[in-house]
Amino acid sequence: MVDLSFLEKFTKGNIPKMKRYISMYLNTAPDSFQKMQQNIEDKSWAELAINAHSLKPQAEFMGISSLKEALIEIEDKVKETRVNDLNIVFERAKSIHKESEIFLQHFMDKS
Amino acid sequence: MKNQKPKIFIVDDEPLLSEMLSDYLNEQYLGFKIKSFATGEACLERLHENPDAVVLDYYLNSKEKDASNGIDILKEIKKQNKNLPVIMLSSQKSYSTASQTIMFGAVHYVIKGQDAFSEIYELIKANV
Repeated sequence: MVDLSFLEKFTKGNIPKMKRYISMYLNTAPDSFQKMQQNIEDKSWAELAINAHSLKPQAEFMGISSLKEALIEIEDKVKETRVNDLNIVFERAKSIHKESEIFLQHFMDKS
Repeated sequence: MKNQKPKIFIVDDEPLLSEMLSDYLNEQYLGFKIKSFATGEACLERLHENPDAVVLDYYLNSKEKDASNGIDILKEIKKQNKNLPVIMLSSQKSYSTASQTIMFGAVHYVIKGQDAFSEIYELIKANV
Protein backbone atom coordinates (compact mmCIF):
# COMPACT_ATOMS: atom_id res chain seq x y z
CA MET A 1 0.00 0.00 0.00
CA VAL A 2 2.86 2.39 0.79
CA ASP A 3 5.82 2.52 -1.55
CA LEU A 4 8.60 4.72 -0.19
CA SER A 5 10.85 4.30 -3.22
CA PHE A 6 10.24 7.85 -4.50
CA LEU A 7 11.02 9.35 -1.11
CA GLU A 8 14.10 7.16 -0.81
CA LYS A 9 15.32 8.27 -4.25
CA PHE A 10 14.44 11.91 -3.57
CA THR A 11 16.39 11.98 -0.31
CA LYS A 12 19.16 9.73 -1.69
CA GLY A 13 18.46 7.36 1.19
CA ASN A 14 18.84 10.03 3.85
CA ILE A 15 16.69 8.50 6.63
CA PRO A 16 16.46 11.61 8.87
CA LYS A 17 15.25 13.60 5.86
CA MET A 18 12.73 10.90 4.91
CA LYS A 19 11.48 10.93 8.49
CA ARG A 20 11.15 14.71 8.45
CA TYR A 21 8.95 14.56 5.33
CA ILE A 22 6.92 11.62 6.65
CA SER A 23 6.43 13.43 9.93
CA MET A 24 5.14 16.51 8.07
CA TYR A 25 2.68 14.30 6.21
CA LEU A 26 1.56 12.53 9.39
CA ASN A 27 1.03 15.90 11.07
CA THR A 28 -1.08 17.42 8.31
CA ALA A 29 -3.05 14.57 6.68
CA PRO A 30 -5.38 13.90 9.66
CA ASP A 31 -6.45 17.55 9.56
CA SER A 32 -7.29 17.21 5.84
CA PHE A 33 -9.43 14.13 6.57
CA GLN A 34 -11.19 15.93 9.39
CA LYS A 35 -11.98 18.83 7.04
CA MET A 36 -13.23 16.46 4.33
CA GLN A 37 -15.43 14.67 6.89
CA GLN A 38 -16.93 18.04 7.83
CA ASN A 39 -17.37 18.95 4.14
CA ILE A 40 -19.35 15.74 3.60
CA GLU A 41 -21.54 16.42 6.64
CA ASP A 42 -22.13 20.01 5.44
CA LYS A 43 -22.54 18.89 1.81
CA SER A 44 -19.85 21.44 0.91
CA TRP A 45 -18.86 19.62 -2.26
CA ALA A 46 -16.62 22.31 -3.76
CA GLU A 47 -14.60 22.53 -0.55
CA LEU A 48 -14.42 18.76 -0.37
CA ALA A 49 -12.91 18.71 -3.86
CA ILE A 50 -10.36 21.39 -2.89
CA ASN A 51 -9.31 19.47 0.23
CA ALA A 52 -9.02 16.20 -1.72
CA HIS A 53 -7.08 18.05 -4.41
CA SER A 54 -4.62 19.49 -1.90
CA LEU A 55 -3.86 16.14 -0.31
CA LYS A 56 -3.28 14.39 -3.66
CA PRO A 57 0.37 15.37 -4.26
CA GLN A 58 1.28 14.55 -0.67
CA ALA A 59 -0.19 11.06 -1.08
CA GLU A 60 1.89 10.71 -4.25
CA PHE A 61 5.12 11.78 -2.52
CA MET A 62 4.44 9.26 0.28
CA GLY A 63 3.90 6.57 -2.35
CA ILE A 64 0.28 5.88 -1.36
CA SER A 65 -1.10 5.49 -4.88
CA SER A 66 -4.41 3.94 -3.78
CA LEU A 67 -5.09 7.04 -1.67
CA LYS A 68 -4.21 9.30 -4.58
CA GLU A 69 -6.65 7.38 -6.80
CA ALA A 70 -9.43 7.65 -4.20
CA LEU A 71 -8.83 11.41 -3.91
CA ILE A 72 -9.02 11.76 -7.70
CA GLU A 73 -12.30 9.83 -7.60
CA ILE A 74 -13.67 12.27 -5.00
CA GLU A 75 -12.65 15.23 -7.21
CA ASP A 76 -14.19 13.62 -10.30
CA LYS A 77 -17.45 12.79 -8.55
CA VAL A 78 -17.79 16.40 -7.36
CA LYS A 79 -16.96 17.69 -10.84
CA GLU A 80 -19.58 15.43 -12.41
CA THR A 81 -22.06 16.14 -9.56
CA ARG A 82 -22.29 12.42 -8.75
CA VAL A 83 -22.37 13.07 -5.03
CA ASN A 84 -24.67 10.20 -3.91
CA ASP A 85 -21.93 7.71 -3.18
CA LEU A 86 -19.20 10.20 -2.23
CA ASN A 87 -19.37 9.00 1.34
CA ILE A 88 -18.37 5.47 0.26
CA VAL A 89 -15.30 6.76 -1.62
CA PHE A 90 -14.40 9.01 1.28
CA GLU A 91 -14.63 6.10 3.76
CA ARG A 92 -12.36 4.07 1.46
CA ALA A 93 -9.85 6.97 1.33
CA LYS A 94 -9.99 7.26 5.13
CA SER A 95 -9.39 3.56 5.59
CA ILE A 96 -6.40 3.64 3.20
CA HIS A 97 -5.07 6.61 5.15
CA LYS A 98 -5.44 4.79 8.47
CA GLU A 99 -3.56 1.75 7.18
CA SER A 100 -0.81 3.82 5.58
CA GLU A 101 -0.51 5.89 8.74
CA ILE A 102 0.31 2.71 10.70
CA PHE A 103 2.91 1.73 8.11
CA LEU A 104 4.52 5.18 8.11
CA GLN A 105 4.49 5.40 11.89
CA HIS A 106 6.17 1.99 12.01
CA PHE A 107 8.85 3.31 9.64
CA MET A 108 9.35 6.32 11.91
CA ASP A 109 9.71 4.12 14.99
CA LYS A 110 12.02 1.47 13.59
CA SER A 111 14.38 3.54 11.44
CA MET B 1 21.82 31.10 -14.98
CA LYS B 2 22.72 34.74 -15.53
CA ASN B 3 22.16 35.57 -11.89
CA GLN B 4 24.64 33.82 -9.58
CA LYS B 5 22.52 34.18 -6.44
CA PRO B 6 18.92 34.09 -7.58
CA LYS B 7 16.24 34.81 -5.03
CA ILE B 8 13.35 32.37 -5.34
CA PHE B 9 9.96 32.75 -3.67
CA ILE B 10 7.89 29.59 -3.13
CA VAL B 11 4.21 30.18 -2.39
CA ASP B 12 2.26 27.10 -1.31
CA ASP B 13 -0.04 26.41 1.60
CA GLU B 14 1.18 22.81 1.77
CA PRO B 15 4.33 22.85 3.96
CA LEU B 16 5.47 19.42 2.73
CA LEU B 17 5.77 20.55 -0.87
CA SER B 18 7.45 23.83 0.04
CA GLU B 19 9.97 22.03 2.21
CA MET B 20 10.74 19.33 -0.37
CA LEU B 21 11.06 21.86 -3.18
CA SER B 22 13.25 24.15 -1.12
CA ASP B 23 15.54 21.23 -0.17
CA TYR B 24 15.67 20.01 -3.77
CA LEU B 25 16.58 23.41 -5.21
CA ASN B 26 19.27 23.96 -2.56
CA GLU B 27 20.78 20.57 -3.40
CA GLN B 28 20.89 21.40 -7.12
CA TYR B 29 22.44 24.80 -6.66
CA LEU B 30 23.84 26.30 -3.46
CA GLY B 31 23.50 29.86 -4.71
CA PHE B 32 19.70 29.91 -4.44
CA LYS B 33 18.22 32.18 -1.81
CA ILE B 34 14.83 30.66 -1.11
CA LYS B 35 11.92 32.05 0.84
CA SER B 36 8.67 30.17 1.40
CA PHE B 37 5.25 31.67 2.01
CA ALA B 38 2.02 29.94 3.00
CA THR B 39 -0.18 32.61 1.43
CA GLY B 40 -0.03 34.82 -1.63
CA GLU B 41 -0.63 37.87 0.53
CA ALA B 42 2.56 37.15 2.51
CA CYS B 43 4.47 36.88 -0.77
CA LEU B 44 3.06 40.18 -2.05
CA GLU B 45 4.21 41.92 1.13
CA ARG B 46 7.78 40.85 0.33
CA LEU B 47 7.72 41.54 -3.38
CA HIS B 48 9.79 44.67 -2.78
CA GLU B 49 12.70 42.31 -2.02
CA ASN B 50 12.84 41.72 -5.78
CA PRO B 51 12.77 37.95 -6.18
CA ASP B 52 14.17 36.58 -9.45
CA ALA B 53 11.41 34.01 -9.82
CA VAL B 54 8.22 32.97 -8.03
CA VAL B 55 6.87 29.42 -7.81
CA LEU B 56 3.18 29.91 -7.13
CA ASP B 57 0.50 27.37 -6.23
CA TYR B 58 -2.80 27.69 -8.08
CA TYR B 59 -4.95 26.66 -5.08
CA LEU B 60 -3.89 28.77 -2.13
CA ASN B 61 -7.04 28.66 -0.07
CA SER B 62 -7.31 25.08 1.12
CA LYS B 63 -6.05 26.08 4.58
CA GLU B 64 -7.20 29.68 4.86
CA LYS B 65 -10.56 30.18 3.24
CA ASP B 66 -10.13 33.96 2.98
CA ALA B 67 -6.75 33.72 1.28
CA SER B 68 -6.56 34.85 -2.33
CA ASN B 69 -6.21 32.21 -4.96
CA GLY B 70 -3.07 31.75 -7.03
CA ILE B 71 -4.49 33.33 -10.16
CA ASP B 72 -5.33 36.57 -8.28
CA ILE B 73 -1.83 36.64 -6.80
CA LEU B 74 -0.36 36.04 -10.27
CA LYS B 75 -2.31 39.02 -11.62
CA GLU B 76 -1.12 41.21 -8.74
CA ILE B 77 2.51 40.13 -9.17
CA LYS B 78 2.33 40.90 -12.88
CA LYS B 79 0.75 44.27 -12.13
CA GLN B 80 3.70 45.14 -9.89
CA ASN B 81 6.46 43.56 -11.97
CA LYS B 82 5.47 42.28 -15.37
CA ASN B 83 8.93 40.84 -16.10
CA LEU B 84 9.12 38.66 -13.00
CA PRO B 85 9.00 34.97 -14.05
CA VAL B 86 6.18 33.13 -12.29
CA ILE B 87 5.93 29.34 -12.46
CA MET B 88 2.45 28.12 -11.61
CA LEU B 89 1.97 24.88 -9.70
CA SER B 90 -1.13 22.73 -9.51
CA SER B 91 -2.14 19.12 -9.16
CA GLN B 92 -4.89 19.75 -11.67
CA LYS B 93 -4.19 18.34 -15.13
CA SER B 94 -6.35 20.88 -16.86
CA TYR B 95 -5.62 22.51 -20.19
CA SER B 96 -7.98 25.41 -19.48
CA THR B 97 -6.40 26.14 -16.09
CA ALA B 98 -2.93 25.97 -17.60
CA SER B 99 -3.82 28.24 -20.51
CA GLN B 100 -5.52 30.68 -18.13
CA THR B 101 -2.34 31.03 -16.07
CA ILE B 102 -0.22 31.45 -19.21
CA MET B 103 -2.65 34.09 -20.46
CA PHE B 104 -2.11 36.05 -17.25
CA GLY B 105 1.67 35.92 -17.66
CA ALA B 106 2.96 32.72 -16.04
CA VAL B 107 6.03 31.32 -17.80
CA HIS B 108 4.90 27.74 -17.28
CA TYR B 109 2.35 25.50 -15.57
CA VAL B 110 3.80 22.55 -13.65
CA ILE B 111 1.73 19.61 -12.42
CA LYS B 112 2.48 18.74 -8.79
CA GLY B 113 3.92 15.28 -8.71
CA GLN B 114 7.17 13.39 -8.53
CA ASP B 115 8.59 15.05 -11.66
CA ALA B 116 7.67 18.57 -10.58
CA PHE B 117 10.91 19.23 -8.70
CA SER B 118 13.27 18.74 -11.63
CA GLU B 119 10.89 20.56 -13.99
CA ILE B 120 10.79 23.59 -11.70
CA TYR B 121 14.57 23.59 -11.38
CA GLU B 122 14.98 23.53 -15.18
CA LEU B 123 12.44 26.34 -15.57
CA ILE B 124 14.19 28.46 -12.96
CA LYS B 125 17.56 27.89 -14.66
CA ALA B 126 16.09 28.95 -17.97
CA ASN B 127 14.47 32.09 -16.60
CA VAL B 128 16.87 33.68 -14.11
